[in-house]
Amino acid sequence: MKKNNKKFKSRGRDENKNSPFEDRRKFCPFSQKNSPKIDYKDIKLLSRYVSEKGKITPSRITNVSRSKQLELSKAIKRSRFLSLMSFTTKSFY
Amino acid sequence: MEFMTKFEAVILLNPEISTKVRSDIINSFNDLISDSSGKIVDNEDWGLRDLSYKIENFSKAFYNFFQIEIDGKKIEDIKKTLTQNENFIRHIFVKVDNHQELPTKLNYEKK
Repeated sequence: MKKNNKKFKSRGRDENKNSPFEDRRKFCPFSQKNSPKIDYKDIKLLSRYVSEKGKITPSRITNVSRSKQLELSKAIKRSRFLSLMSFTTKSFY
Repeated sequence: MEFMTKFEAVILLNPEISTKVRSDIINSFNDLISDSSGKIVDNEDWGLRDLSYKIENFSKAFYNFFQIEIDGKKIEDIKKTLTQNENFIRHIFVKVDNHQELPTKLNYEKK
């Protein structure tokens, strides 16, 4: 019985409070109340969602929601076309 | 029936032209839109900026930004005339729901 109790406890929240994998709430950075608007002219914001080689980072890493990721990728592609952002490198860090 | 829709336009101009020619070109662009029964709500000059990659062997270009209200069907003809002009390196028209307040963030950061 005691062993069973211990096993049950280890799955609880209190024990894993300090571990980095548990209890971290994920949220979309663009669907909050005061979140910034996605715009193809705002290079500094867009370059946060671009890898060092200029690729668009997948939403499973940045936690951007599905609909906002569509907007984001469109905005990045527009600013690439206007040569505001580079295709191959990151302009802002 | 005409449906006026809101657009944003960004134009890249040849960096080697003089300031007088440049203002003439921008005036001609304004005429192009007013001729096709549109109007320019606001415009902004971003000046000479570095390109992040070369376009037609230019490493710099003059950027101009416009906020336009126009019938969407007429944009096709405007694009056609812009591509025929050599001084326009690149152009883009983006449909928007509402015009944002100026100055744009890009311009603001530069100062």
